Amino acid sequence: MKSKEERFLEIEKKINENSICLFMKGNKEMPQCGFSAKVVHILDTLKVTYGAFDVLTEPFLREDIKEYSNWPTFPQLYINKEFIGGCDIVVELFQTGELQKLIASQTTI
Amino acid sequence: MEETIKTLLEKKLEDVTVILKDPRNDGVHLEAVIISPSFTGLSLLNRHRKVKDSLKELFTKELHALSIKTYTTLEWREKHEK
Repeated sequence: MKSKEERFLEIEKKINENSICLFMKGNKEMPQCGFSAKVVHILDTLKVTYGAFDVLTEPFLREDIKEYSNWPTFPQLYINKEFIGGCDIVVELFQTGELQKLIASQTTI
Repeated sequence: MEETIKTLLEKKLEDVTVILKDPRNDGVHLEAVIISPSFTGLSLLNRHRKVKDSLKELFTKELHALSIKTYTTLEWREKHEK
């Protein structure tokens, strides 16, 4: 069994390798919760490439990420290794145009 | 559940007003509008962190779907004067 340290390193790897990284319930094609579906829809609308990880399929991932981000719910969005927030935050940032700015800034890195 | 949310927020956030809605009338998918001067100067993320931290014990078990909108007292007033 992997130690917690190894599991946290794997989470970090996902975040490092995907400049837009979404931890969600279900997958892009079939989100398993309305909040995850909403964020997928927004990212798809913006036509960006992103990594999406289903926290329901990998053992430990769900509880580990809650602890890693210190955030109790899903989805969780990271852009440029920075924790952005959950569904409500993503929706608000999308409505104000901030999300688009954050995404635009990641392509220059 | 709605009472518990209100009580916890009132206990942890300064001078807070909580408007809770149950738009689907199912007791599960709840929406909260939370107005408190303690949000002043905080980023959106930190406001939500504050709320989520206050409700932490609920998220581990019975609370499944809560949408959150936060306003400082001033923002709320401005929104309603428009």
